[in-house]
Amino acid sequence: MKRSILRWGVSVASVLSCVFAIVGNASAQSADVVWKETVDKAKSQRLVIINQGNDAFDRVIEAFTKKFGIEVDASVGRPSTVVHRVKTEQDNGQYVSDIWWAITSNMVNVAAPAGMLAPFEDYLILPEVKDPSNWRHPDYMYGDKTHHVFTYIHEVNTSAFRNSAVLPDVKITSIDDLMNPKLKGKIAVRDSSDPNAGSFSLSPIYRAKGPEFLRKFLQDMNPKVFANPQQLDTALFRGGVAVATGIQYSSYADCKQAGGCQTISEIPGMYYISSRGLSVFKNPPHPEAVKVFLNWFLSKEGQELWVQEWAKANITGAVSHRKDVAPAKGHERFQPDFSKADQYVWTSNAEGSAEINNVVKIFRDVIGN
Amino acid sequence: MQAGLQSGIGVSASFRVLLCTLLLAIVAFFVLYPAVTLFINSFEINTFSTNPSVGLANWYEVFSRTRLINAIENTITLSVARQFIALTVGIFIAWLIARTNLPHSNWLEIGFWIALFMPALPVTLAWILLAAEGIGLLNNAAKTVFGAEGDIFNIYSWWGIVWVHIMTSTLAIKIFLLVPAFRNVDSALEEAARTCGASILKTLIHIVVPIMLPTIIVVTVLGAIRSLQAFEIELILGSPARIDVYSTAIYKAVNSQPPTHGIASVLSIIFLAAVVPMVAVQQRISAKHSYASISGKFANRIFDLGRIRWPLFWGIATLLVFMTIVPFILLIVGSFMTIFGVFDLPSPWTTKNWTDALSRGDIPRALWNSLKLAGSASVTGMVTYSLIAYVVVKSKFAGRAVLDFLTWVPTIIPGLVLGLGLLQMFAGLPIFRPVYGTMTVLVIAVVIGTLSLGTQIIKSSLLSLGRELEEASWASGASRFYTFRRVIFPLIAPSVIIIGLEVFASGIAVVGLVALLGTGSTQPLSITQLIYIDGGFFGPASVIGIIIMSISIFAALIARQISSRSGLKRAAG
Repeated sequence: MKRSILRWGVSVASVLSCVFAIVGNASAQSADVVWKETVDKAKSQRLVIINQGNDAFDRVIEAFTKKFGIEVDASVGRPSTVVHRVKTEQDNGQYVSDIWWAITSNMVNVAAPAGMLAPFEDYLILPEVKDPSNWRHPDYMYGDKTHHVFTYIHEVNTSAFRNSAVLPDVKITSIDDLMNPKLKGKIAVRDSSDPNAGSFSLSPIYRAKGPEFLRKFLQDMNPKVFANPQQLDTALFRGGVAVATGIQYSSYADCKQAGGCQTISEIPGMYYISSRGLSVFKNPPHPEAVKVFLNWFLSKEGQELWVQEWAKANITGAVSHRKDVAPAKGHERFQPDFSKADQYVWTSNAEGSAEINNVVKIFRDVIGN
Repeated sequence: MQAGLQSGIGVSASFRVLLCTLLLAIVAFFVLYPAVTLFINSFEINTFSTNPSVGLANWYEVFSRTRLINAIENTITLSVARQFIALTVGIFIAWLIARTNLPHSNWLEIGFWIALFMPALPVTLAWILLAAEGIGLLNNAAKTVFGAEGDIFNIYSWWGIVWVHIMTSTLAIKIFLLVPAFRNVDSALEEAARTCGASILKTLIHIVVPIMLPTIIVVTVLGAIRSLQAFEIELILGSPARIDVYSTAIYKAVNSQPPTHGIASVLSIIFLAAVVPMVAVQQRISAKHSYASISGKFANRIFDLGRIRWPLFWGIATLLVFMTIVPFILLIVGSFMTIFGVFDLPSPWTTKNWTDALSRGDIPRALWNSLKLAGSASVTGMVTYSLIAYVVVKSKFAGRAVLDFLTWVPTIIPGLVLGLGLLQMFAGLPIFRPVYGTMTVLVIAVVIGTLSLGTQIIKSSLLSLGRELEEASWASGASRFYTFRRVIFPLIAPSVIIIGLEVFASGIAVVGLVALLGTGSTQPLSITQLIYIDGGFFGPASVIGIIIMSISIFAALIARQISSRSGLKRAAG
């Protein structure tokens, strides 16, 4: 009896294996056919991409055009400007741009809720891109719940630094130490009246200690507020303040590389995650070219090229969310530890955005709009 | 004064009325469309959502902002202080340059032209480097050399903001615009005052200033409006000192996430309502106090300053050093620094910023776009503004007062909001579809943006011309066009060239007005620079700043050369 059940079980398993193999193969073959047809159609289209201005974007686009023969009209746009322009165009029935390739904050918080973006999954063809198991954490593939914004980079940012040449006797090893009265007036923060690098850099305080602590910190410590990040960097590096939140890590790294900033150090526990991503504008005029670019760029080949080119032009952030793409040498520290994802504020996704909006509200209440 | 357009160019009176009406209609369309858009936007709620609605929520929110009162107070006090200082000093220096034997006055004038083209952001950063509390180089030097205990200067302050404004464009633009007008004052009037025993100061206050009143009022009103709209310096220097101004509230509303167009529109309408009376008063005063100072008996003899000419020269030269050479050197030095302003590094110097900037493919394209934009806007602007000013001053066209008032509208709408209105016009109206996304749109935007300044300055210049100059020409049988070409134009040419130059410089450095209109293929260099600053790439951004400034200075020198060579030297001094 037992033997017959076993035989029956083996037979069923064999049949199912064959069925899955055939279906899987057919599906792969089908994706392959669709891919080839899409590439053929895309060759007559001229893709319109808006990006954020960096050599890496240009090099990757050059490689794409070389590989597929698809011309790209790439322009550089400030995210806050892009939303104005594209919304006005779309409201007037003009659909000019295809892809937006940038930091995802404006995509998630402005463009997606305004209905300016197309569902991203509609443009994915290759199984290696669609398969969530190829990405480090499936919950972080998309920046928004409605899946309009695909995030291919999550980068750890250091939020706060101190200069021990100023008030050397003051110990700062935790967020609580920032409330030391001796630091009053000796702390600088970047303007956080909007969801930007300033409010991102205050978010670890909010996450770790709650809203009242952050409010008290801003009220009691009387921080200097800088709108310009370079101004903030200089104030810390030259000893104008003892602590600064919102410093650009690249400036700090440049300073270190030049042999300076010996008294500057990171404040433990002050980290947040920023993300880079892609979205497709509603009714893209060149849909096949969009599909080819997205699937190629998010494949192992595209992501490896991105990491390599980004590392050539930048001192931080040459990482990929793909499991099979390693960070560039020296960039490992910017890769988040996804097994402890809860420890970070994910500033560019929906949940993180809610926290950032609270930070902004507190900042506006205390410091001003 | 308004004999104009009644004979001579071979067209009928009705056709001339038709042309003037067409001009009025075109100007009205381009300036009123953004204004109407502004009004409509002020009632739109949740623009960046899938279900925008209409209501008064934006108005309620603005009027419930308690901090706005404080921002308005700061805006008014800062504007009054810097306009008062700049106007007083500006009139004096412009008179010295135009009407006296001040040594090297031509070079000093060019110095102020250059000061006008110094970009605000890097110059502000340079002053932070010099005078920041605790770390400024001047404060450190004072401690080392004079043993000062505390900081002497603090750039993050109310007076710091006033100072940087005066050191950038607030003073320079007054001298830039007043010098040509001073040159058109008949020196016989000053000589009469001096013969009657009046001192230099008394002559300046009681004779020259009243004659110049229409121009001075135009320059003052334009300066005041610019002051009220300024936000860049306030944003950088005001934030650490918690000094908010009204214009930063508009800037933040446009750039917030999501953008709050409605709030920005309400704030702009309030601004507009506050400024319109200033314009009306200016028009009333100008109409009552316009003097034709250039007549058939015009004399332009220079005034002898005697022994004080050299001390005055050194005083102005020192001021210019701080306005141009010091920030320019700091700008150049900054572009070669690893970290701007951080000198105590083992290797503080680098050429990386230059190699990074010059190796980027988008910079040559953006540079070419900027040159096309600035050049086209400059030529279009000179022709357009001259035409409008001529109709306003020299014609009997019934709508000329309305036309004159309309030229002020683009200035009284904040640049960012005007840019938004223009975007809605170009993207929304089918007539503009063929040119949307092209350079033409950007040129139109720059010409609209500088319409007030251009028209009003040329208008002031035309008002100073005596009617007998034209009448003598007509009596000799010359046509109206010939009279304009050979008599009127040479006399107003210095002002027209200066306006052309100002439009060129605006076209090179323009940001707010075209930020929403420039696409990839038409994006000018100034927007590329802004994108680099946003992205934290200050090295390449500072290099672009130097390129922009160098082009403007080069254009200034060329314009100077042209005005000297084209027989205008008499008028230009």
